[in-house]
Amino acid sequence: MRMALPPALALALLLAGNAFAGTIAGYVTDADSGEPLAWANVLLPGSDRGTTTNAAGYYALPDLPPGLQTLRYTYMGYRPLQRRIGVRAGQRRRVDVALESRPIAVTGAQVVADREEEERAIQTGFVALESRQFRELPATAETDILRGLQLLPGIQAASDFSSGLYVRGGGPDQTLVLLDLIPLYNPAHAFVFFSTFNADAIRDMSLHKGTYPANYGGRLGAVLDVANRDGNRHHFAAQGGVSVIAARTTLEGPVGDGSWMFSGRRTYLDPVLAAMRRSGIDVPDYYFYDVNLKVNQDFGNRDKTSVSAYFGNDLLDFELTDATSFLLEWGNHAATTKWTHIFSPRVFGNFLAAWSRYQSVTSFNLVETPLLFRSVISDLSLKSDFDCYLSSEHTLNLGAIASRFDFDYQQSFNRESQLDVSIRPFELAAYAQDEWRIDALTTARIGLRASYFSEGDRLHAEPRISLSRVLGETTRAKLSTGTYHQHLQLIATEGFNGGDVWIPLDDTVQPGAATQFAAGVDWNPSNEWQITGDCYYNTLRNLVTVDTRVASDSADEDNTAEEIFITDGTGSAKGIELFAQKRGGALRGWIGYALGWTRREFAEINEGEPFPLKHDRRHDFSLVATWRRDRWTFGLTQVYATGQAFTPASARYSMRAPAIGTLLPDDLLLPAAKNSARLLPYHRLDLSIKRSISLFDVDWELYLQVFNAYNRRNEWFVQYDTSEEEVDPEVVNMLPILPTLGINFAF
Amino acid sequence: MNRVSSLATLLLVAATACDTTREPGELIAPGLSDLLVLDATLIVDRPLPAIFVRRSIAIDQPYSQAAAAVTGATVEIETPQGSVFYSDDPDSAGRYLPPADSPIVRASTRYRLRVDSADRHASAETVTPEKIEITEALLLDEVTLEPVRTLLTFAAAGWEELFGAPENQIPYLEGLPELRFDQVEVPAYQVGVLPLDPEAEPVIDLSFLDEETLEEVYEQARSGAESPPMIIEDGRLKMPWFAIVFGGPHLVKLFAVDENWFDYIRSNGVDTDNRWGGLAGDAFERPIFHVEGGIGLFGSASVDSLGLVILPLAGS
Repeated sequence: MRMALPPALALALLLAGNAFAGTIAGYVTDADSGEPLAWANVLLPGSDRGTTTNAAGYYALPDLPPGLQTLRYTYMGYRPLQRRIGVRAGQRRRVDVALESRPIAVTGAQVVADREEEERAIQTGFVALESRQFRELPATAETDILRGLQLLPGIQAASDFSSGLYVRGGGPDQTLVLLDLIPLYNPAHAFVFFSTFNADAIRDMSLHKGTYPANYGGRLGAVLDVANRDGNRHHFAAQGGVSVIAARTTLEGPVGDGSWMFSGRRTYLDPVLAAMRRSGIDVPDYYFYDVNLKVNQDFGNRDKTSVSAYFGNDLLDFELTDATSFLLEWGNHAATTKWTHIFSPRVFGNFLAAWSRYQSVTSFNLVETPLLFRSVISDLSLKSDFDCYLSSEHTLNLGAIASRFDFDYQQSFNRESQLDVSIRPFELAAYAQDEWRIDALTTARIGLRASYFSEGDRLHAEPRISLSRVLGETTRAKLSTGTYHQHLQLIATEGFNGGDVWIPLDDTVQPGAATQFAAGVDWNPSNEWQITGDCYYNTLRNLVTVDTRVASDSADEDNTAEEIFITDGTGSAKGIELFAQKRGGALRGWIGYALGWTRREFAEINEGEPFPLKHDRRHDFSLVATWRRDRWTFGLTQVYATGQAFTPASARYSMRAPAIGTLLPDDLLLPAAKNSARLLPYHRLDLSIKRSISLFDVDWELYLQVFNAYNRRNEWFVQYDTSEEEVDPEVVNMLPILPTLGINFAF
Repeated sequence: MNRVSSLATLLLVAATACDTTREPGELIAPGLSDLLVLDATLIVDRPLPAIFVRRSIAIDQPYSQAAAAVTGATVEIETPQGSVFYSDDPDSAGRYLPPADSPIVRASTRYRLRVDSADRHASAETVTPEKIEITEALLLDEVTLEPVRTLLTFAAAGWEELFGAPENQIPYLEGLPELRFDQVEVPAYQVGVLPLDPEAEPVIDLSFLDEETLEEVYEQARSGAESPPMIIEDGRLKMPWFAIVFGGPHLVKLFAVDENWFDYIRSNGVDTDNRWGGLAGDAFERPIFHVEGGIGLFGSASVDSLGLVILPLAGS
């Protein structure tokens, strides 16, 4: 009981508040849709007091002196609202406000700019973008938010075919991807060509490129936090579109004291592929779909609940002969239910139960010889977060999460089970984080995350610190650091992400660990322009990489992580990122540049010498622009990057096949130092033209987009033909020019 | 219209300015040439084998077996019975032959190979595995995996009797042949399947391949197929049907391999990924050789075999 007293006492004090001061608290919402506005500014003009709404749109201003207070509510893209509110000593006033959005043509700015502003004010390497922004950019057939993120400095793509994120030198498995706070383990369709995120269903997203705060954990690199739309609370609305490969629709409207939203997308290539097969062309049957659902309901003015779900699947079926066929099926399913409760104006609680499941089944039948690989990872999590507005100087964020994971992997060959593994670890984590306004110019965010992972019995404490100091009216400097651990490891199947397998590291291998440092300067010379310079240095320890030389069928139930992986790797990533964004006016966009180095070192690889990763890019430049004129929108992106690293061949030799004694038909190749050569620089121009029209009370948008407009034959990889006396290195190129048409609608 | 013309001109200039042709030499990194390449595998209960000594050739130089062959080297195998010195095979450059009275390779015994050629010296060591014996061969029902019949093994029958035995005549894709053997202490097993009739017709249906690829597959399959390394813990091996390409008699060889052989075959396949599009070489790594001063394989294995006759499908 004595152990429980201090937090209980603290909570009681919080609930009671200061008897000689007043508190104003409430929600800030969008006047049209009723959706909460996260990270809106709430200011007391003429003073240095102010706050921002949290992720649920809730704010609290404690310790206000009795009397008439003027509050100013602002949010980029919305009309500012000023209210005069009287508050008495000890009074806790609830003030909910609804902000009206400005016409798009006037601002054209992202509505999440303030969210970004607030988080950026403290965290380095933080980016928040609204789904609408991505829809204005030229796309590869389908609008894709992950491909949009690849245009930001410090984020790279593996190729034209990949929507995977390589953030500050880390691989896709080092980035935690959350959809409505549910982790997604494989956020990709069509062999990573598209992400699982349907842009119509997404409200906004935020990305911590590094030194992420204590409320997140479990990955060595970055966090991508994607939020589904809540749905329109005031009236029914619909939108959708048709591209060359898929059709999609989003419906939303009010229900009870809340809202609902449904969004679905599916490819419609199946009939085309079927017709091709009927005409004798060997092509597989393929489709993918995804569905997003969300229902929100308020109970009184202190409680809000929501239930959301995501279902996505890919299926590829290829029957080559009666005895030879392939079936690949993979997808994510996820669901969450959330309850937010205002315990007092100073204490806001958020409770979440979430379930996520990723399954991939790869089934081959090669001349009556069946092979099966089946992998499932699911997790069930209970999570709680509290925002405690202690005083005008301190806001305390507390939280805890308990997750139970189920990892199942089966592998069989020729009717014989080779591997049947089930691992059921659990993870407990808790964090505390104080946002401390040290003085009018300086803010600190000091956090600690503690986690326990049952597999290997691992306990970690991870401090996270961010400091921010206003240097002038338009300039701010920031510093941040943190430590991070990762217990789950991805075994990726190169070229086919559907076969990806996640496994927990057991007690034979230490989990990966990272220490990150970052510093940055923000300069906002005007309301329209925002210029950021960041530098970072990350060190990584206990890295593992799959040992590709493990015998393909050697896996048995006793295989340990030590046997599957090459272990004890170290690594580093360092770089500088410059980002200049124009956020208002008819012409908007950004220019980004990143200079970076990424290295890894394993005793068993490259003779123990450090080597750059394939996606190590010395220079990475992007120019993104959209220009609105009347009903026309023109989009342009230009990217340039150092060519990716590859391992060149150095010598040839020949050997006999030992079991049959004959000389191998092709000579073998000896590699030079790992990733010691570079492909040609990558560059590409994408263009788009969109035209809006109104017809039958429906807003239509017709678009033409051209990927790789000047048809640059960017290099993908090198292959060597050793069947002749002279080696003929051949470069395989990425996508050529690719024009696509489509139409969107909304009413 | 002027703007459109300007844009078109800009695009044209950009497109012509982005020529991605390059010299092939930029995609290679010569440097690891002239390494001694040893190629020798000892088989338990057989005489010492011929040994191949070659050299690696820089990637920018023409490659041929003649250019790669190393002649005039001193090749010696240290055996329990003493050192055995090899001599050049006059009919095949780079091939070295043991003396006619060379000893039989013993099980569970250490052998050391030394090769000296000019100023290059390479050596390697192997410990031979225990003997392996196929104790039973069965044809299983492919659904229930219950034995349908017992096949004749070389332990019970001679070559001609075995290939003539009706129980070893198996219609293509009918049932599932299974080998049963006593486990031995080895890191892995490997299977080699050798078609014995060079005139046999194909039985496999690869109609989805184009004609040129099909010819290549058939040509390679004529000299046999070998499996990747396999960890087998229950002493049973089910034969995959895709290893069978032709009808007629086949010899199925089951090898219990030593550490060197295992490491080599589990790691040498990954470099071919590069030719298959391994995304610019992520899996392109040096195999595990266990050769000091050179590369290649000096490994050992014990082996037992089974004979099968594959009958074409009715109507094919």
